[in-house]
Amino acid sequence: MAITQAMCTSFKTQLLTGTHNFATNGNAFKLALYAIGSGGKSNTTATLGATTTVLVTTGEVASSGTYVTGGLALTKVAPTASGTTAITDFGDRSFTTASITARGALIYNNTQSNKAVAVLDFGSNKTSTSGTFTIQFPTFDASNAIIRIA
Amino acid sequence: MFSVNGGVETGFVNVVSSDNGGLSNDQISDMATNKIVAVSETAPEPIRQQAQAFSENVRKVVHYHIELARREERATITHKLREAGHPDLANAIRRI
Repeated sequence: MAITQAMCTSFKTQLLTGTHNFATNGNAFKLALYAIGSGGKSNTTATLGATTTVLVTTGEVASSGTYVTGGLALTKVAPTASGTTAITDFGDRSFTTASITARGALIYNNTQSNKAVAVLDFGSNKTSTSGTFTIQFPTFDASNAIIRIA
Repeated sequence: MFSVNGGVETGFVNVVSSDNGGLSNDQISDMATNKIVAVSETAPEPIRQQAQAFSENVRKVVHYHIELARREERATITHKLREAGHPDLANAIRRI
């Protein structure tokens, strides 16, 4: 019963079969929030990690404010190379007037049958109460970008 | 024989949240500064120190302009509310 930061193994395989397209006019990617403990819908607890292959509903955070269960769309940044590392990024995402408790998130490809991309572990429960819940993506470089192929 | 070394990796996100309202000027300033200035964990110490000093200056400038932008936006909203005949609401916004 945990959320473990990982690039999903199925995603790595699907990169080799050309399943995902991160170009700005490519596939639609979404981010869904998950809880462990009492933050999830119906008090369910999420288990996410490298073995996650597709969007799961267990432990998903309930709709609140501008956050909607199932996750919301991410704005893609065109993939590029930084040195010998290929990187891509997403625009930061904010949910306003929301009461949310989340421990992690799943980035998934909505165009490709909700196939999982990456699991994000927030390290601890993050909470907003009638406030703003913002996810800031890391610096867009070879050492930090959200998705890196070295 | 070919040997290809590398890996597919994911970065760590930063979560910023607030209660009973939106993010504060400090929170937004930190987020902006994080995007503008980044230094590698493995960078030499003098470079890290220089980046840290630059980061502090950037944060101050960003913080000032965020504060200014919010104040000016409130001034515009207040004016529009007064024009529309809602002085009480205008005063409430002005006092934020």
